[in-house]
Amino acid sequence: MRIIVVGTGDLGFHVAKRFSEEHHDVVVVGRDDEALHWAQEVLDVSAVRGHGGSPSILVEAGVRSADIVVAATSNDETNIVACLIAEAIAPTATRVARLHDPAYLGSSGIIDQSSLSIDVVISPEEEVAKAVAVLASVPGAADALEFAGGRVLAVGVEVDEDSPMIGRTVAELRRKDKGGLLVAGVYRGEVVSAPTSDLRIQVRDVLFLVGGRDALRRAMTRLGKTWARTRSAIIAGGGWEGVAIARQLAASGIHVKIIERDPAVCDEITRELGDAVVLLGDAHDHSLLVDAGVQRSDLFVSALGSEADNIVVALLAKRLGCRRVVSLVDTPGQAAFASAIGVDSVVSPVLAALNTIVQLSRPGQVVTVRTLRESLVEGIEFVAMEGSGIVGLQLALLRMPHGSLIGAIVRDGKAVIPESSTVVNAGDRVILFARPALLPRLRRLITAE
Amino acid sequence: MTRRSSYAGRARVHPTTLSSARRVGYLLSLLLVFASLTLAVPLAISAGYREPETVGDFAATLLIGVVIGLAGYLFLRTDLAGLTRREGFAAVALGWLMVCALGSLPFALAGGLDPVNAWFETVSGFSGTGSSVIPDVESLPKGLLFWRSFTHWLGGMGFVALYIAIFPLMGVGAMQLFRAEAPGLEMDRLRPRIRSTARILWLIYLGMSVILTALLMAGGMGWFDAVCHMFAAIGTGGFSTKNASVGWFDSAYIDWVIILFLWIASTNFALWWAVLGGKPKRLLKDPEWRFYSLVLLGSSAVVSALVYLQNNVSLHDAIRNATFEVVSTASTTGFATADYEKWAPLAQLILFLLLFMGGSAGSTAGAMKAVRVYLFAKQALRGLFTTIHPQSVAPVRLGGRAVSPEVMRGISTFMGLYLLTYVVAVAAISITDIDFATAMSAVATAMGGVGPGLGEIGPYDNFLWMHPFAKLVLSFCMLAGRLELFTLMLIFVPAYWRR
Repeated sequence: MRIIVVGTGDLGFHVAKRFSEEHHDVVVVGRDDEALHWAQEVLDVSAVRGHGGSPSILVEAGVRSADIVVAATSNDETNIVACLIAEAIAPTATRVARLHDPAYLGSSGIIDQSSLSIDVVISPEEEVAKAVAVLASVPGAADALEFAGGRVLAVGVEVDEDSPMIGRTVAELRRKDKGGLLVAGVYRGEVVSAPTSDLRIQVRDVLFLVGGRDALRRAMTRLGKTWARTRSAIIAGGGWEGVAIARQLAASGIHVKIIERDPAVCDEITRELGDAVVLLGDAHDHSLLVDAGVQRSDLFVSALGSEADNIVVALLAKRLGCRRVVSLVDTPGQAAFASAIGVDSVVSPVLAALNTIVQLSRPGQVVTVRTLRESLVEGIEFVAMEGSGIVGLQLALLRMPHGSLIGAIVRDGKAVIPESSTVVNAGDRVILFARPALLPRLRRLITAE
Repeated sequence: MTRRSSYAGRARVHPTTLSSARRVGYLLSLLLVFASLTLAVPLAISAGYREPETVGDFAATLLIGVVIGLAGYLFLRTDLAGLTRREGFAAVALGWLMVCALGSLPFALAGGLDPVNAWFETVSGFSGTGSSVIPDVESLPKGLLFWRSFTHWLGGMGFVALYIAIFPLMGVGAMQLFRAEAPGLEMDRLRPRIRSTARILWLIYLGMSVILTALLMAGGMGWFDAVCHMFAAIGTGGFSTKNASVGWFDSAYIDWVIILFLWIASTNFALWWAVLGGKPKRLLKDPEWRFYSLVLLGSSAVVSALVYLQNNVSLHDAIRNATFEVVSTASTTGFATADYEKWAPLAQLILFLLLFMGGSAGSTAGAMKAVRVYLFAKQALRGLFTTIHPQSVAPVRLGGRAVSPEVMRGISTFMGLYLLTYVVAVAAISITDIDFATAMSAVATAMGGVGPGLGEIGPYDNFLWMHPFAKLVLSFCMLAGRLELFTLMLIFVPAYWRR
């Protein structure tokens, strides 16, 4: 596929990176010489310098033969214009626009996005807010992904020093939940592996569990995690991301406080979010955090303008006694670093938005794509189609490549953890986990070609 | 409470020296197998001419390469994803050294050359230089003669590029390799992905080759001579199958056809792709092409006039011989039709200076490249201007677009390194008692990938008489010039190997 990416910011770069790694033809359009140069330096993409809203620039980038146009500049208006022009030149291309400002998205219903020639709207703010909300709904998890409308969860859980399961086997962890829980992977040291049932659990393993919410709750309790509902959250930073997270958390009944240091922004937030407490001040301020009640808070999310601030402030909150701290970090290296020095969870707005775009290039009827940390593992939810390789055979006979597995099947609204004798029927929703590099080899399972 | 998250260990695994060496080794094995297989072509030619001994020599070489390569392939097998720039440079530099070593075996076995001479001849072939240590090439077995010219063709576009075009390799890794081998400032991507770009470049290359072969055969050359001269012309190398080079044929038609194709092969291939795509204006508007063509025309005119006035030949012969030598030198080929050492000093000086410039970036030509010379000169003139108007904001422009300071800095660095290498190498070979003019032109012709020089190494002389040390220095210069200095020289810089 030929994919044109307008914008060389974080999102644009990562979109280009992801697609080029999947061997698509990617052309990056942007005005920042340095960013373009860097993109060409580290990615197998070509670059065109110029305004993404200019017809001649888009033609130079090859929009006529493009399959997907992603307008991912930081400017909403440029993105809308790029989509309008792309439609005029290449009506068949799928057009994706990043929009920040909720005013454009709106729920007013006056016009819809297709009037603006946009097929898919992506909003890193909304995506990250959803990701944080899922995380908030699974206490004790370092990562949490949701599939099939919340019926299936995939979580990463770290084994603490005081966990009663240390030295026990994976089979023992599964014992009471034979049918409802899958231990899909174990991260130990630098290696991700599929566990055998007699593998003994060690301190600091991260277990990758798949199952329904109840099964996960039981498994995590057995692992020694306290499953306490998230009732209160503090969000540092009242930018678009902070506000989107606050709105999402408030919607699931969590009491939210936002810390923002710009009085004008505070003013705006109070008008937008009726039921949130807005605190004026700097999130780096020790006493402000204490006054905000960080030590009693269930969740702390740092959503400030810079990654470094997000890591520092989250650590500060942790030190002040907050049970669980989450940082917004986009750079993969920084994310690993943040985890290493004690931030409980890291979520990336860019990677969250990326999944929505990647989904477009997936074959067949893919419903959702979610990735676990640094895109090590990709979870794909798709509808099994008549004639595709996955239908009608026992799973054991599918010969799945090493590093991929079927995590769950949703049939008649109920999630089932499959066994080797399970047979997938047409119409089932299948949740498959795999290393992204394996996806081309899994194509035959997903599509009916 | 301090808590180490277990994600800590999963932070990207940094390439250790060991895995780095393994990746490079694996790549080298792949290249070795590939390069060995190309020996099947001269082997078949040899077999066709019924040269059983030469066939055996090629078969032995092929076998050695394939066995070593396959062993490396099996033992070092690893994942090439995430190949770093440093590894790419190492693989290309070592790959060229390795392939030259392999390619020199037939010269040693079938041609009876000693190791240093075989190495010199092979490096001269792959780097597209065309300096020879073989006084009587007509006595060589046909298979070996073919291989000698074939190395020009393989090295001209680059066998790493050919490898990338044929075999699947991870995207970014392929890019690092391609960049380390390709000449020019920045590569022109004809397609978003590097593999498609490499394929198109090779297709253009192949197309030119077929057309030139046909035209040469139409001019009365036998197929063997036509193909061998095509290899040398398209790869801008310079080896001929005749002792008297192209002059042996003494045909105005052949001379002009070769002039035309040398000019084509030393023009940026991206421009030919644009012309094929129906955009001939891109060629006509390209500042480098205009500059290069202007230099060719100007030099040809001056040299023609000098030859006509001094050497008692007809006007057509003066123009034909002068233009041939100018284009042959500027395109870094080094074919000969006339002994320019009998020409006026100014004509010889012009040819000497052309040894440094070379053709366009993104072509098979060697030396500094026209665009660098052009921009370097522009920058120097701008320096004068800014001395008068210190406040002026006037970046160096290339065809209306401002050239970024980084690119300019890269050019200055390259020119500095080129001249430094030149001076050091001239000093080095002078130790072996080579006269001044010969030493000066020998290094220039080696670094530029041209072939002949002045003095003792004129168009009808050879390099056999030189001291082995001088031959080794010159073969280093050829490789360094072909790989645009940095790729080869980096592996000799200690900091490159430091962790």
